Amino acid sequence: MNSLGKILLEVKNLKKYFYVPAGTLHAVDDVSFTLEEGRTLGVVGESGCGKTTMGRAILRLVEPTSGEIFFDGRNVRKLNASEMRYMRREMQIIFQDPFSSLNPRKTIAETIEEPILLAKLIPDSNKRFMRVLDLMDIVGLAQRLINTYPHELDGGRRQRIGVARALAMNPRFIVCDEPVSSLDVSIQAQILNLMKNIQRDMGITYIFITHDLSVVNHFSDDIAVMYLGRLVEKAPAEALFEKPLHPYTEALLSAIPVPRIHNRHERIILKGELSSPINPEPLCRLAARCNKCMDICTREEPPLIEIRPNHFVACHLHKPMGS
Amino acid sequence: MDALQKTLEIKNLTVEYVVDKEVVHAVTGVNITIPAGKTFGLVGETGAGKTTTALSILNLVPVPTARIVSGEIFVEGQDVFKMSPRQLRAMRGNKVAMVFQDPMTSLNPIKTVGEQIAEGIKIHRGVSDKEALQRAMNMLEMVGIPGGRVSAYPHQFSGGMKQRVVIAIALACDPDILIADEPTTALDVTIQAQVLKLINELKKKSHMVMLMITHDLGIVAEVCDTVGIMYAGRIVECGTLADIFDNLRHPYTRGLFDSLPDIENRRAELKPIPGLIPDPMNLPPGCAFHPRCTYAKPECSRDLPQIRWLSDTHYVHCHLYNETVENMLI
Repeated sequence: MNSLGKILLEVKNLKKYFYVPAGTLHAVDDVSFTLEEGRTLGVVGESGCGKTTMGRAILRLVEPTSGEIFFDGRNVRKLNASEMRYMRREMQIIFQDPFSSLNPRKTIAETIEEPILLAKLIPDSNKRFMRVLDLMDIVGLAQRLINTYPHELDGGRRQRIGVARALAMNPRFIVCDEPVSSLDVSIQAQILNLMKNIQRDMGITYIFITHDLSVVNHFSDDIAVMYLGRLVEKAPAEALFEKPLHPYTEALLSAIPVPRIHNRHERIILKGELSSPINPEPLCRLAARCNKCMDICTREEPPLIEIRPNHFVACHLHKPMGS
Repeated sequence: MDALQKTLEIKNLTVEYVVDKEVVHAVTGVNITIPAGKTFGLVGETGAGKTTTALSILNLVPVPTARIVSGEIFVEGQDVFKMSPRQLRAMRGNKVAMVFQDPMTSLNPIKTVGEQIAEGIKIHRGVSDKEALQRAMNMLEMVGIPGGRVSAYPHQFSGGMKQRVVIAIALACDPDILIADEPTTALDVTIQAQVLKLINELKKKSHMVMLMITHDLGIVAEVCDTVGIMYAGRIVECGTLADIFDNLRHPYTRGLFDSLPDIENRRAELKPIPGLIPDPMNLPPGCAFHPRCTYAKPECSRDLPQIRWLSDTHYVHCHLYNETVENMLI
C-alpha cells in the first residue's frame, strides 16, 4: 500500500453551492484531494455534510459551481457533452438505495444490458447477452434470475445488479454512494467482499461514501472526513484510526458503538447538532460544538494543511509540517 | 409486589400473518422475561420478527391480518391478550410506552411538539391543559431540548431532536415498561451517541423495564443486560451480555459477529453468512437456519431443535448441543 501509484483522480478546490430562498447553501466547499489508481478513498461524514454531492459533482452528475477535476490527466469540467458521455464509461457510480435506483419495469437482463446498449459497446446481440451473463456471474447472481424483476429480489441481490450495471462499461473508477447502508449485516458483508474482490481482480479505483465508520475502516486505504461541506481531515486509514487529529474525527470515532463488552472506551460527546450550511460564517464550522474551541476558531476558518506525510487536517490546533 | 409489578413476561408467543391465504410465520414460541430495571436486547435482521414481538406487547398487531396463535404477555401480572379495549387504552402510553423507529414519520406534522407530549399526560393523568403543557416542557428539558420550544412544530427540529421528542412522549407518563424499536437507526452517529447516553441515564433514574430492538450489536453492548438473538421468528440464542459476547454458541450468532467489520483489525476478512434469510411463508423444515449453517447435520433439516440450557442464564436452540455442552464447536 505504498503511495507511489499513479494519480488517477485529482480534485482541486471543488465547490458546489445551491441557491435556496434562505441564501447560498455550501454543500461542498473548497474540497481538494488526489486519489491514486487502484486505491479506495473512503469519504465519511454525517447526513448533510456534502459527501453525496461531492461524489456526484466529481462525475458531473451535478455541475460543480467551481473547481477542477482531473481524471487521468484530463480536465473533466472542460469536456463537452459527447466527450463527457464517453468519459463516463470510465467513471461509474453505484447508488445507495437498491430499491429506488432500479427501473421496476425492466428485468435484470435488460437493466444490466442498458448501459452497454446505450454506449453501443457491443453491437452484436448474442455477444451482448453473453456479456450480461458474464457480469451476472461476476457479481454472483444466478443465471436463473435473468428474467426476474427488481421487486422479486431482496436488497442484497438488487445491489448486486447495481454493481453489475456499474461494471458493464469496464470502468476504471467507481463512486460507491452508501452501497451497503440499506442492507442487513450478513448481506452487507457479502456485498463488501464482492466489491473488494472486484477491485483486486480489475484494479478499479473507488470512492466509497458512507456514514458507517467500521465499514469505511475495513474497506478504504485512505479516509476523508467531511463536515458541513468541508474536508476536515484526510489520512491513510490506519493513521486516521490510530491518531485522529481533528476534534470532529475524534468524536466521530469515539461515537461508534463497538460490539464488545470489555475494554470499552470513554465517549467524546459533541454538544448540539450540525449548524446550517446556508451562508456559513468564515470561521471553523465545528467551533460551536467543539470542546477544544479556541479564540481563533471563531474568527478564522482553518485551511487544510499537511501535518505529517499524507495526513491532512483543517484545524487551528495543528501546525503545518516543519513549522 | 413491587418487584412483580415492574416486570414484563412474554410466554410462548406465536404470531402469524395471513397474506393471500398464505401463512407467514412471523413469531414462533418466543419467551422473554425482563425484571425491573433491566434491559433486554432483541437482535435480528429484517423480517426476523422483532417488531411483531414488540407490537404484540401493546396488543397492536394488525388484526385480522395478524393472528395471535398462542401465548400470553403479562404486564404487571395481567395478560394483555385478555384485556378489554378500555384496559388496553389505559395501559398504552401509560404503563407501557413505545419509541418507534422513524422519528420523521411518527410525529404529527400539524401539532406542536408540546401538544403531542401533553396529549398522553392529559389522557392518562386527567390534568388540566396548562398543567399538562408544563409537564411537557419539563419532559423536553429532560431530553435536552429547551422548554421554550414546546410550541415548535416537528419540521422545525432536526432528526436527533425529533427522536428526543419521541422519547419525551414515551416517557411523559412515567412508564414501567419502555419498548424502543430501533430508536437510533435513523440518526447520525454523534447524535446516536447523545441519545444512547440519554437512554442510559433515564434507565438508571427510573428503574424501568426496557425492551430494546436493534440490529446493531454495538448498541446492545452499550445499553442491554440480556440479549436474545432472533432468526426467522424464533429466539435461537439467549443469554446475558457475557454469555453472548464472550461465550456465544449458536452458528447464526457467530455469523452475525463475523459479518461485522472489526474496527481494530481492518485487514480481517469479513465472513458473511452464506445465502439469504428464508421466506417466512415457506420456512425450511427442521431448524430454519440449516440451509445457511456450516455446521448443519442431517437431523437439522429434519427435526426442530429443542431448547438447551447451557447455564442458568444462557440457552440455545441448536442440534449441535444435543449431547454435549462442553464440546465447544463454534
